[in-house]
Amino acid sequence: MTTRTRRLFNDTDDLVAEMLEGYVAAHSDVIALADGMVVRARPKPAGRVGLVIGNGSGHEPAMIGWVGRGLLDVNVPGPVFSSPGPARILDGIRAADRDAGVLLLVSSHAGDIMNASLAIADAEAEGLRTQMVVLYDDIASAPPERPEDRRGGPGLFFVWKIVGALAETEASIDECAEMARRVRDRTRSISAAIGTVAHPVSGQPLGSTPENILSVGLGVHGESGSALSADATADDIAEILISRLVADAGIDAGARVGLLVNNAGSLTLMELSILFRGAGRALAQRGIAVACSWIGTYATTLDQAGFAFGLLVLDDELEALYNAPARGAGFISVGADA
Amino acid sequence: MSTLDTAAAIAMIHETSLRIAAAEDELSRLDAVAGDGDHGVNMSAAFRDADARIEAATPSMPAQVFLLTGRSFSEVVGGSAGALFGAFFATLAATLREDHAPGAAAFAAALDAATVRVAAVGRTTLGDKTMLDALRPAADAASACAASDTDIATLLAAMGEAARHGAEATAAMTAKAGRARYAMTGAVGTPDPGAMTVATMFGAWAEAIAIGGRS
Repeated sequence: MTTRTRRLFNDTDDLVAEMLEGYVAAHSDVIALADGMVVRARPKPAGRVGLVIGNGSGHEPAMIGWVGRGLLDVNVPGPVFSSPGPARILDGIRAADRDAGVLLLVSSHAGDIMNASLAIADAEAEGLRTQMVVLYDDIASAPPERPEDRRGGPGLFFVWKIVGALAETEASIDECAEMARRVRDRTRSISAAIGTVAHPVSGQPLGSTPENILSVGLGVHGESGSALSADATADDIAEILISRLVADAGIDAGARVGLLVNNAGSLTLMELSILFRGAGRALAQRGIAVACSWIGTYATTLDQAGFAFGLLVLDDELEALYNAPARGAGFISVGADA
Repeated sequence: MSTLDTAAAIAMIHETSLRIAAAEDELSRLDAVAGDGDHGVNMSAAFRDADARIEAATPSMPAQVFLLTGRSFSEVVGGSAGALFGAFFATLAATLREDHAPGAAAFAAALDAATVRVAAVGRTTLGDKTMLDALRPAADAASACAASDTDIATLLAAMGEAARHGAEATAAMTAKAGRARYAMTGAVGTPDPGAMTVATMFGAWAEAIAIGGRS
């Protein structure tokens, strides 16, 4: 496996703008483009909390595919792998404001937090009511006693889905922020990938993982992790990763969980399905039931050959919100009863 | 020259854009060791944008030059580098205010304020293997020059030298901030790309004034 460097672009200076133009045109029933931001084609009614996230591009369908009913209100895409600056995020806050406050659900990465913090200070100076919840779930990035040092990973889709459902109701910004923290604290993820990907602009490989070595604990920007044996099977890998997640979260037998298997870019559905099977078996052996399951391409690192497992410890309220209908360009849920 | 006028500030940013463009691939390569490999691309884009903004706006004070440069970072680049370099230039501008030709003392004070702001926005301290490890020694060198009443050219040369030593010393450090802290090796053996950008920038500032000989 070699790192693919030829990509089908025009001018690399325009790749984010051209991607947005094409993606929004393809999903014009759900989303619209407003000054470089992705907004809902039909904004939610006044009096509802606005949900915004700014993030680097290169993780599609995150987060451009996550704007829509039951999900986010506004996404501010930045340059490849770089958070947008404070002025852009402030534009997003203004666009999402429906007179009930705007909540920024920030995946924990240094630049995202810095720029969101600067934007919130500017928004408050304008009299806009805003809050930020910093989200993290990646157990490979810091030990359990320092969860706030962990970075954000694909497990955070549980947070965005559930808070997105709550923000369709008349819940207050404080209630939405509290829910975001509650889901975050019950969510864990871990990622693994083989080899590296090339940065689309610089052409430089991300990280330094040798070919055909499965590296565990990669970040969503290809930050390096630790290597796993080259002859590990899918079941071996699933067992190792699930055991780490269950131990970290302290999940007991009898618990009900949501299980996410996310494709980081170029794994086959064949591989993802076999990994899902292995993860399900590893959980079943521990007496843990999978009540909500998710498999597919939700947050990518371009065409990285990798995946992540995400686990959320459910309760009845979270399960109901998880199952509420949602419609974004990159994620659709018809609801549990449909 | 004893003061830093608008033409000098414009020349400093222009020289920086040339030097960073030349170092673009190397800075991206350093970033790829523990980051996402785009630092050189982003820095180069920001200074190119700043150069164009400055040319279009014809600023009349050094603070305006630095304000425009800061906007290129916070509006175009984003990411932690955008936030931090944006805060650096915004603070330089805010501290110099309407001083048309700051002397060594005023410039050193502005540089110190900007360095303090970068540490606050990034929540970093010396030795974390960040741009602060180049900025702080440079700001201290500037203060020492100001205390001994040197001219601006000497001050900029001392800053460039101090930043280069500071940036080179980051190679031996283990990353404690930013994305690099997640790398298993802590990127030991590789200098921090943000610190290298600061060293390149201050080197360009010294060169711009030494070459230009404006007074």
